[in-house]
Amino acid sequence: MSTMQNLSEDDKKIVEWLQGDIPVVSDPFHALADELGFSVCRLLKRIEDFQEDGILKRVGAVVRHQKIGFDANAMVVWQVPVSDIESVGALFAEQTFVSHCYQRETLPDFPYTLYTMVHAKSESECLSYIKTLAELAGTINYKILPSLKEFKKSSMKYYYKRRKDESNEHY
Amino acid sequence: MDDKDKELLNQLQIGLPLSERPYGALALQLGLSEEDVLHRIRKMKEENIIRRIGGVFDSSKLGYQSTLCAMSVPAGKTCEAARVINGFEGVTHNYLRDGDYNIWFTVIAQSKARLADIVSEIQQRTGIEVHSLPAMRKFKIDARFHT
Repeated sequence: MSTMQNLSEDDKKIVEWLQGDIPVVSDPFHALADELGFSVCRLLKRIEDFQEDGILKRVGAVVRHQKIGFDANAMVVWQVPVSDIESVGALFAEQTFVSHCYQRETLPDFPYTLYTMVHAKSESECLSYIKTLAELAGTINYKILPSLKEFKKSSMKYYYKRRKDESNEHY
Repeated sequence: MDDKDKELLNQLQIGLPLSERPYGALALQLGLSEEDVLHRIRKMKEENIIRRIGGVFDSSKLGYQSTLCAMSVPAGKTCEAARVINGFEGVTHNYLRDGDYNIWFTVIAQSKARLADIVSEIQQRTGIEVHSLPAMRKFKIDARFHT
């Protein structure tokens, strides 16, 4: 089992490389394999290990969903009683239009226990998806928090080594 | 985007084949030439449909800690608050939303202590309370979109 503690320096280089943008060329793994002194085969085997261990969920395209028509998105929060969280969470997770479904801590003036992200191609489709979820959940309070503005959206860089010319303001 | 682009994008979201020539392997599945696949992908990247092709990691399995934060920021101060929040590398998503709690952002850090430091620094620099709502349970994370 790979954990952060037992990843070798080579492993961390692979993790760092995978967080970048894999080149769109015929043999994209070749340059990294050379750099590590590995065969491509050995490199791919290591990437498969990461997947088996679950640290790597997938290698593939990350899309801008707005660009392919999914431009109606909402965060919806649900006041599910803790005793029902398990069953409602599992039901919500089955819906293809739900990308994220988490149980979170509550605030005194914000008693919602279950958080979902719903993605649709139009406002009306989004509302009908939310209605589907409401029917699945039974009679509970929920609140739709549409996004008014995206201030930031990025991928996390793990083990990222900052170059000298990058800002160190906060670290 | 034509139907082949959509098929290609769906496959590419499921996964890039882990082989010496992954785009060639995709081409074979889709009945296209490798050159055509490379061309189509480059075009979708130029058009910003594909943000990147790479690994998607499980932050908790890499030992990282994450949380979702909520703030109630007065209307005139949202941009300034967003600027402070966005300045932190560990902040990956930040949205203005409709509601009493109107700024929602996610933070990922290498330790619980670092996470707490970022949250308190944002609170201190904006002068507005930051409520951290870490996930107690994750039922689903799957940001893939079938076209």
